[in-house]
Amino acid sequence: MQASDLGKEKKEANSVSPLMDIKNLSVFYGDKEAVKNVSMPIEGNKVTAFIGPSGCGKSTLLRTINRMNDQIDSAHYKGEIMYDGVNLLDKKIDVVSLRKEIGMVFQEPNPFPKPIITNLTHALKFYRTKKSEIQGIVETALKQAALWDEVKNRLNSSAQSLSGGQQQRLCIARALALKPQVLLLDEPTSALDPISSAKVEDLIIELKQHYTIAIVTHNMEQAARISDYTTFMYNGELIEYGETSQLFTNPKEQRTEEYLTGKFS
Amino acid sequence: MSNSNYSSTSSSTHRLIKNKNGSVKRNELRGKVVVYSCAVLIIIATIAITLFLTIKGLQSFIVNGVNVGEFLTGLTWSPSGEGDVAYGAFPFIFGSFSVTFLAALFAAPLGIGSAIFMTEIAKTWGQKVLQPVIEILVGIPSVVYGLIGLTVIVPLIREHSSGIGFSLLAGMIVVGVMILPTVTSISADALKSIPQDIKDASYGLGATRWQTIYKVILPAAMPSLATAVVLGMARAFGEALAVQMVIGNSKALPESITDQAATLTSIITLSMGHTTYGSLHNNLLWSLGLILLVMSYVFIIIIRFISSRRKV
Repeated sequence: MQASDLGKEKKEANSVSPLMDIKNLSVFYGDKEAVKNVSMPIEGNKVTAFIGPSGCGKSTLLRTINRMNDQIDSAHYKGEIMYDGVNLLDKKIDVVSLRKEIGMVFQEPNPFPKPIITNLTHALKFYRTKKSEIQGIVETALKQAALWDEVKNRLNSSAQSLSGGQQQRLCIARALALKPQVLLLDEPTSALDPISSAKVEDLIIELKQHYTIAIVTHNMEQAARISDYTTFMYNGELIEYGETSQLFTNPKEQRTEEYLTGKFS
Repeated sequence: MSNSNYSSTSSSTHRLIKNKNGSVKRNELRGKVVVYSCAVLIIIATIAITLFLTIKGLQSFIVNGVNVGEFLTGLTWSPSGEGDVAYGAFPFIFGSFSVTFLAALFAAPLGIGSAIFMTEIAKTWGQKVLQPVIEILVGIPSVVYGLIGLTVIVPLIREHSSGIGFSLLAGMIVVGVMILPTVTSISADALKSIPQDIKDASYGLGATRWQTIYKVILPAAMPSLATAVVLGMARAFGEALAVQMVIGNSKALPESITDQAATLTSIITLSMGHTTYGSLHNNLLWSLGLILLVMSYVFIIIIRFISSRRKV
């Protein structure tokens, strides 16, 4: 709680500097360099999209921010991700608190095979949230994820009885229940049908007011629709970063233009 | 050949009409016969064993007029005694069940614990070292377990208790160690099959490894883990040799865990050789065998029940 307050103060104090600053970041899986010397900011309360062909390192980059790559034994890093005055890649970082503050939603909807409400309270219990508060947090999170009206009468039925789109919004609600500062979305709509995708997109635009969002997507139209900034990556390298409107209409790099126009994928 | 077929218009040899005597058809039939007869053989064998054991097992009740209730609950066993004949099998039924449950009590936490270690904590080491070790343990013949129990565990218990060492406790430890690899390897498979998605979800919410194991992985794997334990119990229930070597084979009901006892299997293996075929004693042993068969069916039904619930 304290850390997030600190984060807000800092954000307000220097509104010019970005919320997060990735500096010369390289990520290795064993000898393979999956992300090569990437530097870019992630602006607060904006949506930053990561686009690029499969295997270009965009998901790896995203998963490095909340240290999910720590799960993989062979993964190691070089460089820095500065956030609120600390380097997130520092060995001293408590990844548990980090992941609470920087939430993540994955490609496949992955609710726990438990009742809907348990999905939301699951992590809250780890942080010893008071019972009296839990009900309110659950309701707020589900409302933020635009799921409350659909599930309010069946909070105790299994999360797996929900449709794919509802499951994904539940996963977003699950992350929101922890009151994160940043949401990392790893291709959140790639497993969803167009209608469900549209709902999730609306939701992302809505959430931007309160959260900083980084989203990896294969869908360039989606990136154009919802993001403020876009990063194009290719072969682990950052090719171009800029405002979405500028990058899509008037890319500076030839490779960006070729990718956007479908010359390669 | 194919060309002539292609142009042929006669209905009996048209390439699209089923050819009744073609070599393909004959090969199909041959394969079908082989596979079907294997299946039929297995089914016949199972039915025959069940039927045979049922008929033999019921002889003592039908031909010799043994009271079923007395057989299942009686405490004295002296079926070939010169004087009073008593046929209470309860001590053996009790012995079998206690060895089974105690062994499961011993093997379940250890097996599931090491499975967690293997799949979640030390993945590479666990799978390179622990898994082969466990596979070797599965292959060790039960008589070897019995021998080790006889030379190590029985003397140990003798020194630390008032009994003579041969005991329910020794049986429990030996059988527990025997079923440990079964429980471990099936549990490890169960834990490995938990999708990475769910683990990621939990870690992504900032759960620690232990919280993830305890709150997400174990509940999700619970039905399969239960199956692992029940399979281990089925094996424990049917184990004869190793148990017989360490349990003492006393025909009385054990009074404590360090007391001697006997199981259904150990009584059958001990006595079967010196009974006359068709005698009361012999028939009673068949009845004990029938109990074993019924119990193994019960274990199978339990496993089926657990795994059918998992799919929901």
